[in-house]
Amino acid sequence: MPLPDGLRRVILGVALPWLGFTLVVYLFAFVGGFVQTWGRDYTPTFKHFTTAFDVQWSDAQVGGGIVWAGTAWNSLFTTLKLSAIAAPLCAGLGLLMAWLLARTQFKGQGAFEFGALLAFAIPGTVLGVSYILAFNVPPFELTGTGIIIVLCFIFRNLPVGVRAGTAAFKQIDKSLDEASSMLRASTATTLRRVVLPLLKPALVAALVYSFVRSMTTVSAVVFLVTAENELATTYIIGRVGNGDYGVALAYCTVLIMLMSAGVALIQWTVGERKLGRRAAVERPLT
Amino acid sequence: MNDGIAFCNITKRYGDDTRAPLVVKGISFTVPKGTLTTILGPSGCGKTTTLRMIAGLEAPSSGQIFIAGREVTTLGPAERNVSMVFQSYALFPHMNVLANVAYGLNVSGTAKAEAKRRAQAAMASVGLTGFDARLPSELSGGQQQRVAVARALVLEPAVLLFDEPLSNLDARLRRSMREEIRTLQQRLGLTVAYVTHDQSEALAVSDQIIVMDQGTIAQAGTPQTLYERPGSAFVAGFMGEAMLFDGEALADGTVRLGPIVLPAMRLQAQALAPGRVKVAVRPEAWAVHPAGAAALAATVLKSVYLGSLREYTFSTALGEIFVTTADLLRVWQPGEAVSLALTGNGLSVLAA
Repeated sequence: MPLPDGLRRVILGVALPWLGFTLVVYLFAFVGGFVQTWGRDYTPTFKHFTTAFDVQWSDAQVGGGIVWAGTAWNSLFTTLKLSAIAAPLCAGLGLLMAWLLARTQFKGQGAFEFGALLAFAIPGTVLGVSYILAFNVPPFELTGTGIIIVLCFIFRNLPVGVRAGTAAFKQIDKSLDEASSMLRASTATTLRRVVLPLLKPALVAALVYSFVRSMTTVSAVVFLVTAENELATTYIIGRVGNGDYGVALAYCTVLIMLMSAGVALIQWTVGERKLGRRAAVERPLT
Repeated sequence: MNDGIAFCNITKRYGDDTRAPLVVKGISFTVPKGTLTTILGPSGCGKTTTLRMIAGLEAPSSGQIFIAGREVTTLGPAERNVSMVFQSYALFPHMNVLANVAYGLNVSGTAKAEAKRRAQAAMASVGLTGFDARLPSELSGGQQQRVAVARALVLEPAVLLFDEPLSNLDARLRRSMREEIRTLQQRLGLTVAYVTHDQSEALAVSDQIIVMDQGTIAQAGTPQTLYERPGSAFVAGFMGEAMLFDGEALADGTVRLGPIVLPAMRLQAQALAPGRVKVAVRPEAWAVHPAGAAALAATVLKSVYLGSLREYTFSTALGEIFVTTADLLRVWQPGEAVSLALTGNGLSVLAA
């Protein structure tokens, strides 16, 4: 059914300018990295990318190999490493909590669910400061280490895993678990052979979302980073603080591309599940 | 105990709260080995809970359950030698038909080739040869049903359970599937407990019917006993939509129902004490005659054509009466004056 003409115009009138605005933002971030100084000197240059992401080959005498000479490499690698550590832990923990919430009954379940999802509502800065205070004294002297950042990532992104997991568990009929146990399978076998394969899309989504969100978190980690463990986002803030917009924007361009790849990965893996009856029938049946 | 299933004083309440209402209130019954027993009742009567307690998916709050002479009250589903066909079939959507059927064998460590051979034999017994590589989503409802039955049969269980297995099928398929289930049960001599809310399905497949009402057993017996000699108003109403009328038993053994007098020999109930009784009359027990020809004067209120029969609603001195008749040649129009008589079948007299 086509939309009424008036409504159509109103919707387009809202959506199109917003689309244009978004595109302009991305365009500025993109172009800004390729000019000398935005606003004053529009000479095209690769200087900012070289500063941030320069790669050189060291001489054979020194051992040979790649030297990550750019100033941004360190923070990018740290961010990737810590996010990659946090993502599977976060997804696993989230799905486990989802299983507790969806498939078991215990006292205080409501409070447990509220607690699990509360991390979304707490401002990141509050979380960051709390972490410094909580882990600054023995026995948990973690302030300044990478571990505290990983912990913060996990806690911050847990609700994503829990939500994805509960949604998936709700779609998997409980009678599948029961059928498996009626067929003499143990709980572990049921989890491995029935529940986990069906949870795969939720697992992948939770993994990638938590990875992407960890990569882009600012507020929660802004107090937790050190010179040793600098993250991409805090590095960019530092550059902007120094008035070094070119490098910051060049870094943004790289991040935008990395994140787009991440989102594409989600859609590719999760979208695969959509193949329904029709698509499946076309495969040769032997 | 006997070799089939035995329930001894089973009660069940959900949750730990002892004030929570009982869903099953102290029921005892047996399902003899090699027979099919249906547990029949309206929604919320506790029939599915009862079945799940046989399966081991729910634990009874008190009482004992025996399967094949062994007490299984506290055992889990895997230790009971019981299989179940679920209402939703519960086929594993990510496995093909063969993997679904062989699942029970594979997880219990049967050799691959042996598991495949036995799974294919089970599939052949339900007429599914050649469907090995299909996914459940590529099967029709009836085929999914067969896969579920084959998957349950392959483990050669002592007891096979069905939870409303036909409720997701269309009417024609329902009839042929229920016959197949009955044939299979008799051919393999299976002990089967079968839950349904459809009384015609229960009548068609059962050796024994247990009618449940609000967590208790209203009546248990053969299909014929339950249909022809219901023991209570509830059973009479549930088995075949019987209507209940106030009547009076007379000293000479006849029963008076308004203007109609039922001779003693027509009634199956024996030795009624004189006094007030209830008479349960099935819709097909009435015969419609022209006005004045029979004892009970009536006016046609509604007339519905159903192909093989016709449904009427009459207004009478006994209240509104619902009647079905196979006589399609003589059609009575709404508003027409007629009279009603009782043919003798589909009548039962209950104590008031």
